Amino acid sequence: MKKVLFGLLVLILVAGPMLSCAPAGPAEKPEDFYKDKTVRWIITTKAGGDHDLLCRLTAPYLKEYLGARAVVLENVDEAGGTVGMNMLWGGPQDGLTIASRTLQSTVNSEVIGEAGVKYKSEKFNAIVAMTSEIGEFLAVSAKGPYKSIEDLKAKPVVKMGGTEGKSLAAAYLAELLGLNAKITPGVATGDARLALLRGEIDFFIEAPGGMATRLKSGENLALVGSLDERHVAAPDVPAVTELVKLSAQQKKWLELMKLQDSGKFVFVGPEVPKDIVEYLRDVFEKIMNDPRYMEERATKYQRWPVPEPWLTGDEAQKLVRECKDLMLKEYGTMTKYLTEKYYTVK
Amino acid sequence: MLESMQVALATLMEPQVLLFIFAGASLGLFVGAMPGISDLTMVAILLPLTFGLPPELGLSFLMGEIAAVGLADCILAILVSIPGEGPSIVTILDGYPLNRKGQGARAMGAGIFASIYGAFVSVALVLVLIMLIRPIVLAFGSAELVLMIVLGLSFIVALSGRSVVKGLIAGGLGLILSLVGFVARSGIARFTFGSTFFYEGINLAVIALGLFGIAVMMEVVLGGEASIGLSGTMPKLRDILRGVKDVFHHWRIFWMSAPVATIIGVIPGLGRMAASWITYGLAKQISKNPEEFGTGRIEGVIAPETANNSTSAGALLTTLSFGVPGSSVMALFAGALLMVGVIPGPALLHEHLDLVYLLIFGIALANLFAGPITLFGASQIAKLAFVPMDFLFPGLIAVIFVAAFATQQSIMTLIPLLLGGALGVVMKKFDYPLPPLILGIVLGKLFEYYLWNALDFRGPLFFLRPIPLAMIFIIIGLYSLGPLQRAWQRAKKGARI
Repeated sequence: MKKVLFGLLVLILVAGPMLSCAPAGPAEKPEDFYKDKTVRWIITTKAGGDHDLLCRLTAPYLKEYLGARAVVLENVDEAGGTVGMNMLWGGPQDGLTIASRTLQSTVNSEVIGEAGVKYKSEKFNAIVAMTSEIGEFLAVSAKGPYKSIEDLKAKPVVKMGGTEGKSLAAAYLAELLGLNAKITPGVATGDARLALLRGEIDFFIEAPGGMATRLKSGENLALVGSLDERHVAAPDVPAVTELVKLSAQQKKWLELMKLQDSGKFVFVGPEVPKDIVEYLRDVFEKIMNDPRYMEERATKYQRWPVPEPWLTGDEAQKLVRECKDLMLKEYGTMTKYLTEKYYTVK
Repeated sequence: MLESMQVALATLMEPQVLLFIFAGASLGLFVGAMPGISDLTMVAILLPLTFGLPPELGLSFLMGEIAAVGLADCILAILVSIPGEGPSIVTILDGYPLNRKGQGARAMGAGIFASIYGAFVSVALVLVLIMLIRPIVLAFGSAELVLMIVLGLSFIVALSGRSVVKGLIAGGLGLILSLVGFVARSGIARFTFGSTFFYEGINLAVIALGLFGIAVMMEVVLGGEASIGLSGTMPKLRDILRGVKDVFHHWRIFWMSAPVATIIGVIPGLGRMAASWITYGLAKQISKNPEEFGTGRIEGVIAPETANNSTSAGALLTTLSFGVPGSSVMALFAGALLMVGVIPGPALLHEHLDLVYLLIFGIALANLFAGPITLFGASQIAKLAFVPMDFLFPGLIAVIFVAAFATQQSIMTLIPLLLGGALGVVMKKFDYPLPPLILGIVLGKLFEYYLWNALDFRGPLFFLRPIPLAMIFIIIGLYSLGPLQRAWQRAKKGARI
């Protein structure tokens, strides 16, 4: 009897590893892979903001198209979203975790060398850009003392507080417009808006979606846009090139600003199998073109006067590479120079 | 203004609106009573459900849930020292000792009624404040918030119990624990040991479950006690009503806590947790028996529970009138407003004042619905204090572990949970007070964030402003009042001799 038991034990100990080494069956198709599974969506902003709302609006469609059991949304906004992207980088690479963040923050945090960044932006697989938002606005309080750029220039030191790690747009505009600005990074948007109303800061930078909302509510006045043409979200606001003549170097900076997309990009990890990546891109493309989704977005989310544009996975991926390449190229002359000149935290 | 109020009241009386507020309030009670499920999580889950509803129904439903969360979270806190929601940690300090003395039903009655009454008072205050909200919110910037937090941190001394030195050590440990995680300004990781789990810092809910839940359970079991309730008889409804009467008896504590908490709710950045701690500390300072706080004083339940439920109305008003959320939950609520085409901000007070009134009145109504249910339910749940530990302990330990896992959906939560439990046992054994530790964790991160902003925005002399200077005088006054009174009495005694 003892011998029989011993034999069984040996069989189990040997057979187990052998079975695990057996050649795998045919790979699961992506369509079947997601069936009845839970997808985790890391939202790299606080709950309740525009980014968060768009993800929440999109999540039910993602669940439907994937046939997933659930899409669980998780807000991980520490360090302006870097923590969430680190989680995507270091987490399981099975395609069950996606994360969304702006392209601008994702690339800037890495290139600037923000402590704690563990990822390489271009290695993420971009699935879609749910919105593509190029350009930012310099905004002041509508009830404040500043009504023009000249008013800001008259103040010896102008202060700004903002989110998204190092806000390159703020420093870029300060440099082009000749403002003696001190920029405090890491200030939550709500706190920055209140600080502006209190007069603790003099201006802040707002993306097109947020700016359209603020202009509608009458809270803020936009003085200038960061690009070389007026933005459809605020057509009455002059472009910076209407106010100043750019040097050759500054024109290169402008080209970089055109790649600093503050739209909502969706990523999966760098090692996720290619067929899963392609499948997710296909799914999101279907969602973006779904008439129900488009109508819901138009009624519940749209901030611009016209529907915000979006980018396919391929377009988004290309933009990530281009943005990072140009940022690295211009790091010394733009990023490093501007951050050291204008930020209160080096 | 009157016309908008009438429209709001008429809308509120529609059966469908009443039904949705009731449904939201019922869910809020469940969330408040269950450890591990935060109101933020529940609102996030409910948000998509409201997409297809008319605005007044969807928003009323969410508001009902948010308003009722603060009612039931004291039940488990008092009964078994397990916080339902974050702010109920403060209620444990005196609520649980009261339960051990067999007065758990009384404590629950006082806590629940203080919450209901606090909600009504805060709604009334907010209706008065509607037109004054702007100067109040704008008066409290980074500099002012730093001093408010310093006031809160100063209560580390007040809550230290017998040994101020031990209290300061515990508070210091709390401040060190608050450093864990990322610094928002620069994204530097501190004490994360390279693990993404700790990037978000120490989760207060988890560590509190360990410190209060596990440590207390171990104390009861290792002490060989038969049940949690050491004395007293099986609770009855009249014990609950005794607690209700206590709120009227200690009217000074209540009428200090409700307005202070409402104002704290109005000011973005501090939140319910800070309001509960600040009012608890103030209650201790003005009490005739401050040395008994932490051993089972009913005022120690009334103050934080009043504050817990008094912040919602203020936070809602700031959210609606500024478009700046007064709390994380309000941020999601503001999102819901945007989804229905309502832009929160100054214009809302002019264009949709009836909606503002509807939501504010909705808070009162949610508490009116949920209050009696909670009071009656508490009288039954309080009987659990006399269930033998042989039966209760396994279930409670399971609740603690599941609740901890639910907060972050990660097995790694066991690390801070068990460390918190071990720390709680050790601190109790060597008579180190727990409240200063929690206070340090809660306020440490906020202090650092606002201090840096104050230094950048206002310079190193940021405190030379009217409100910060007033706060400094209040802090000095609070801590010199006791010694000055004692010195005065000694002098009088000496003069008589």
